[in-house]
Amino acid sequence: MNRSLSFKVVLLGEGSVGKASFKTKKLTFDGKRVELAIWDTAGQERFRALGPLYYRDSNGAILVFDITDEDSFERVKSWTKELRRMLGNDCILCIVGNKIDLEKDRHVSMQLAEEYAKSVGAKLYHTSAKLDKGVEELFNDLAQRMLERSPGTTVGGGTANNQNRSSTGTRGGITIAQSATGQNDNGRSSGSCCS
Amino acid sequence: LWITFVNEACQILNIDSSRKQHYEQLTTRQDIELASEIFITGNVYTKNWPAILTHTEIKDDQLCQEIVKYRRKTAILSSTAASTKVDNNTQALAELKKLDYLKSSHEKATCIRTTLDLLLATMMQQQQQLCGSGITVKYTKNQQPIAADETLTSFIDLLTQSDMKNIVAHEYYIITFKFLHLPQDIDYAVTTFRASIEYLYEKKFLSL
Repeated sequence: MNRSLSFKVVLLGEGSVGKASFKTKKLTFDGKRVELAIWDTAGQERFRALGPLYYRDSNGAILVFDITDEDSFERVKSWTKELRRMLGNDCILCIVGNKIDLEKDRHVSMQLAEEYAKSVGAKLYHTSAKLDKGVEELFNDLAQRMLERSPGTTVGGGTANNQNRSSTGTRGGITIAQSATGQNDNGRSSGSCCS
Repeated sequence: LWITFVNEACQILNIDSSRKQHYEQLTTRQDIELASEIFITGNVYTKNWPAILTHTEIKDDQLCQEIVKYRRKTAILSSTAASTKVDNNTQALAELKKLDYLKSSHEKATCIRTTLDLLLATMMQQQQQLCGSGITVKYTKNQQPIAADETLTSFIDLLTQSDMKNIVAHEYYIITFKFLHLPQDIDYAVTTFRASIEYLYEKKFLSL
């Protein structure tokens, strides 16, 4: 039976970047199928206290800020602290500077973002959800990093654990039975989360 | 008991019971675990449920009070929106109310997932109507995703429109009596349900 690994990824950012509430994204690396369950979280201040309900058991987190908005970068900093407090260092963090199509209006310097990401053990990505730039690379890289971190799994022909459910609840990523539905198997995604 | 279990399990999992030895079709461990959950919790539900209602009574009463306050607050903010929303959410509301008749954690969780789907479908429809009417909205393409902020807000509205008295009891039951990890899509819907309860219970709407 074909099996695939499933990871839970939380998405933190403002509502206007084109995120979907819940989306799965299927990828393939060296014949190993990876399914990302992407959980969008409500970014408004009034919903802030509800975040931990969504973060629990996440394997990865995507923290999005708007490069033209300094406040959004500050919010990423506070989310990072909260995630590290809640999930420790096991969770893979991706800090994403979005709206690179508005480079001329940039208010968060690339160097500052880069240094911050490095200081918290995260990786910085640059995207334009509007132009669909950098989004695929972000998910591919995140999936690869989670695969490398997943116990008992190595990219390029490793083993997988034996749970058989498309669900969350374990931090190492879990193996799921391959669904019967057709899926893009050309090595890249068959669905999209951000647009 | 085994025969009863197999027959009921096949019904639960939509397996054709006219075939011989249909227990062989309970092929995966997950199928058997799921069938077990529904069978066992279903059979003790009439004993468990009253105890849970008693256990969550205070929190449920408090939640009802907060819902009244929320309704008042949102009615002040928008006098017409509430009735419009109820009309639009009829299907989702009907689905949510099925929680009262379902006897297992998995069935209740799936019901919440379906409720969320119906709610999202209504929201998408409204978004398209706005696009069609020429009113500018933030998304210009068809079938744009609905962000979590909007989803959560709508789910909170839905809960407050439901007039259900045992919302906390249902939440408690789903969390306590699940045998399996929920599939991620269902887990997301249940989390949205729990977040909505938490939001109302913690009076976060008072800052609106």
